[in-house]
Amino acid sequence: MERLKRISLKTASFILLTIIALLVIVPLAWMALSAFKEEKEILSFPPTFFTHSFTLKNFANTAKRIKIIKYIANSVIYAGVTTALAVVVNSMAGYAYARKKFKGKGIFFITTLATMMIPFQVIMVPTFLVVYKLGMYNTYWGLIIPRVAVPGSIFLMRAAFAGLPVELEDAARIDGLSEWGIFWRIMLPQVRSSAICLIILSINGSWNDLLWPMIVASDTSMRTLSNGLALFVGQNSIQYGASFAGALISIAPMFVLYIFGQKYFVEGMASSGLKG
Amino acid sequence: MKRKIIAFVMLVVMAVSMLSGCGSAAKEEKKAESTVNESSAKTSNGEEVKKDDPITIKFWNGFTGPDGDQLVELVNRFNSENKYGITVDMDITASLDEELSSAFAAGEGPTLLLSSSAYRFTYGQYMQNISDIFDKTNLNKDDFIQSYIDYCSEDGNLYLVPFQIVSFYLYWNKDLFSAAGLDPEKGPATWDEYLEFAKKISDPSKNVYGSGLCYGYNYQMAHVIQRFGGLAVTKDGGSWKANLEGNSGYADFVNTYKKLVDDGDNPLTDDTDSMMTAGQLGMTINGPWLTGGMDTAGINYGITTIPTGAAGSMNSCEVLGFSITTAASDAEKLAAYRFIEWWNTTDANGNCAALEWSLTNGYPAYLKSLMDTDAYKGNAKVMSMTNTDTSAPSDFIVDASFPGINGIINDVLPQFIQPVLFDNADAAASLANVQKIADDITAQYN
Amino acid sequence: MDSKTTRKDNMFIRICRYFRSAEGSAYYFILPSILLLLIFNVIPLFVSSSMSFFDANMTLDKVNYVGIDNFVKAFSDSRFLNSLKVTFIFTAIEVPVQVFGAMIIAALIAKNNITNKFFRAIYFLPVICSATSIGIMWKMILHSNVGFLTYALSSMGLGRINFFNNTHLTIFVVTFISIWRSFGISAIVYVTAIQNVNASLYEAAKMDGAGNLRQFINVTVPSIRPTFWYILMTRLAGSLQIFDIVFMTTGGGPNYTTESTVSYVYSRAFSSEASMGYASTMSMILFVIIMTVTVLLYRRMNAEER
Repeated sequence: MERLKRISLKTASFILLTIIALLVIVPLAWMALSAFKEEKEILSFPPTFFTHSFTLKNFANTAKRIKIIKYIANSVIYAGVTTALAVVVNSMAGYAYARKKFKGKGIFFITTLATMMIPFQVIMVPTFLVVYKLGMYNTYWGLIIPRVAVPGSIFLMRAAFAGLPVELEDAARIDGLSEWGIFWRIMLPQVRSSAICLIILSINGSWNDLLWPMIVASDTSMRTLSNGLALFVGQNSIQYGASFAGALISIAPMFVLYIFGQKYFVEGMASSGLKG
Repeated sequence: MKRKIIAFVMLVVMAVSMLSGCGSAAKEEKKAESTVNESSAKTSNGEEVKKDDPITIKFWNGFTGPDGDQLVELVNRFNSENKYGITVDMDITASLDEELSSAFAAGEGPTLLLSSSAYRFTYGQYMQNISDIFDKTNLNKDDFIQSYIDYCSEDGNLYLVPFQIVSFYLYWNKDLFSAAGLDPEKGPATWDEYLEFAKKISDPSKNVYGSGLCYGYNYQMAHVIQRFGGLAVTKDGGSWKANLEGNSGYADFVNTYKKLVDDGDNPLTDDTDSMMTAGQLGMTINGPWLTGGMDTAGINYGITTIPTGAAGSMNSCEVLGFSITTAASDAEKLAAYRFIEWWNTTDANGNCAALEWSLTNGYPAYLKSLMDTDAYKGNAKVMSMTNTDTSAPSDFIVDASFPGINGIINDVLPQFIQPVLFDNADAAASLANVQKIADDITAQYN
Repeated sequence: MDSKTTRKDNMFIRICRYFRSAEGSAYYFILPSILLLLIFNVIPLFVSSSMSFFDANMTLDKVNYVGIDNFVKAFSDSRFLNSLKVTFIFTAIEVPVQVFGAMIIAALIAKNNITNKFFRAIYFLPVICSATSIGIMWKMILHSNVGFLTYALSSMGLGRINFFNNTHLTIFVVTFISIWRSFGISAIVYVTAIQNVNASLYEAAKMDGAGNLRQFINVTVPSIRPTFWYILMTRLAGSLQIFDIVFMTTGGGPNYTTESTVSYVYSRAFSSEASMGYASTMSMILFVIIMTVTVLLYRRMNAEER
């Protein structure tokens, strides 16, 4: 009886997961297949799901219109450096908020949270002016530095560190490690999976960021991939095929990264010291 | 405690100076590598540049979409063939407003800007007076059609040079006309005909609709509604006056639209473009860019002017133009002049960027000399878009010099139309309601 | 050495020691983030909040002090009030789905086996797509007339559903798209947290004879509480600022039934007027609302974690 119940529960959960997976995958598959359709077929009635008019024209168009390699290189610089700095800075802050008692903690944390509560469009011009006054207009630093500290990421790391047992720190302190050593050598490796989560989210955020690179870098040689792909969505007309092809090009590296990341989630688990 | 504060401040200062140090160093490095020649142009900042001094000017616009491709080609051609050593560094952006407002706030910006002439109302203080372009170049002011120059001027000073004239047209699907037993070669000339045709074409079994009015397309609504009830804002005894409350033409339009929807002759949708391109729509009203999509899709279509309504004959259009921002030095300004001159000049081989642009994309010419060329006259598409009735006013939805045009198009009209369409609000009541919003807008400029 | 320098030295050493202590070191851990946030977020925040008392244009160079006029205007602006209502509906649906729905899904896919990895990879796909491509994709799939899904549903005899042009339905469609886009993040973050739960706790629960469901309620849920708060607060802030999905799909229509506060703020700042002052005012009101909720939640969170 108990086993039967368990099996039916398992089936039910599998069905639920499959339905959600279908909800996710069907629209995306339609988009992916449409990237290989003639524009005419994408906008035909009745609409098609599978590709009847297979073509690579959309990809050729994308490659012709934008300097894909250059743009990807810029995106990689932007996303890569931002993320490298973000992991350190946000983990440090998250660690302090989770594990330490200090004066003004509440105020600092609330201030940190407050900065994510205002729509970017409203603080855009003042933020830009700050960047400009610091002489970072049109530089990679101008793109990167303001994007390093992210309240959401600090919060994420705070949540990760908060779940660790107290004994861990105490043992390290008795061993005579410095505060930095405790953080860097003992605590951070414990939350490796969350750190990988942060890395993926941070890369992803910069990768798809449209507005900030546009306003900070007026130099066309600094354009990122998302800026380039936005060119297919005209004010008056949309090039569907090219947009979808561009979306595929943009998703591919992120997806590979995610699959890699997922592998490390698992390893992060296996090697963590206090398990079992 | 004090020490802590001092240390903190010092850290801040250090961090900031470090950052700015990095920043400017990187900037210089970048500049040096991107344009080797720029240094020579810089030294002559503020003075007339010698003819051979190479210079790079920034050119911003929002021409995302397929026509941007052609713009890139033409700019590249200018870069390779001009004798002045001018490089136009073009940046097409999907967020022109955001980019401009940030840059202007910092005193930066492009040299050359391509935008709607209505930008002179928003960014007027950042646009240079360019009235002297006709003295400094070979462009002839008299060759430009005066009403378009008016669009680009303020108090007799020129702020933009016309680039393209955007009107909306009625497109009809000839195959669907034939299928409905209508003459495929004749589009509707009046709104009564439009309604009659729409009824005949609509075929629910095939998911085909006769009429393609689109509530979500503010510009289409504006172009059409003014045929029914005239301009929304006009000058009345020296001050601006909104003509909404009691405007029976506007009420008539929205009731007509609603009836079309209720009768199943017009889809209730915020996107008619894709339906027209998919061959599911008998008639729609849109700008010339729609033809690109229909051509690719192989739709057999006709073009005509929007039917004249109760408000009389009109030729509503929006003028886009080149402007030069206050961020430009005199040398850059001159380089930009030369680009604009090149754009509007026919070279020895008979090539002219303005003509090519106009013919490929279907925009009527603004230069009288181009209108007389055989290439122009022989292009059926452009000819069907060129309004022959030059006496018809070219104002679009409001008096051409009314600065609050965006508010009227994007706020007032939708807030009038959509409650009637979706909530069965009374047209007259809805008009009375938006009159207040419009009054607030006009009050800002009175 | 005279006594003065000694005292100074002592103080210096004391300060150094303080910063090396468990408590004092907290400051240098938060210093980089606080510094960066201060320069690039807090200062701009102050600038734009002060703008709410001005009549300012986009480039902030024509400013006119107007006192609380903007606030008075906002509270009598029916479109603003409507946008608050729309934002509230979005949030009221999205946050519970993200916080609880994603938690349950995460629990189901937390074990590392090949099927679960497959599901996780799929659920994460929408997260890595840009808002622009998601917007265009859904707009085409659910198009009132030529949409693939619209057509598929009507051929199944479910009738032609006008997803994007129905004043009652469209808001839920937009909410769905918004959830569709980001529930993958919530689920993956939960999975990470669940995997980090100390395995011995499960052993103990099993020993007490607890089934899967009991284990989930008694062990998993309490252990991932910090993550729960993270998801709750970030999703709350995100939902209350919903903008890009609206911008890409409906633009606020039909008849303003999907116009969120940030969408309206955007149109005031950029598309129809250039009044940064009024846009700032509305953002400030939204900010105060979000902050109040956040501080209340923060208190609750702290009380719970203590």
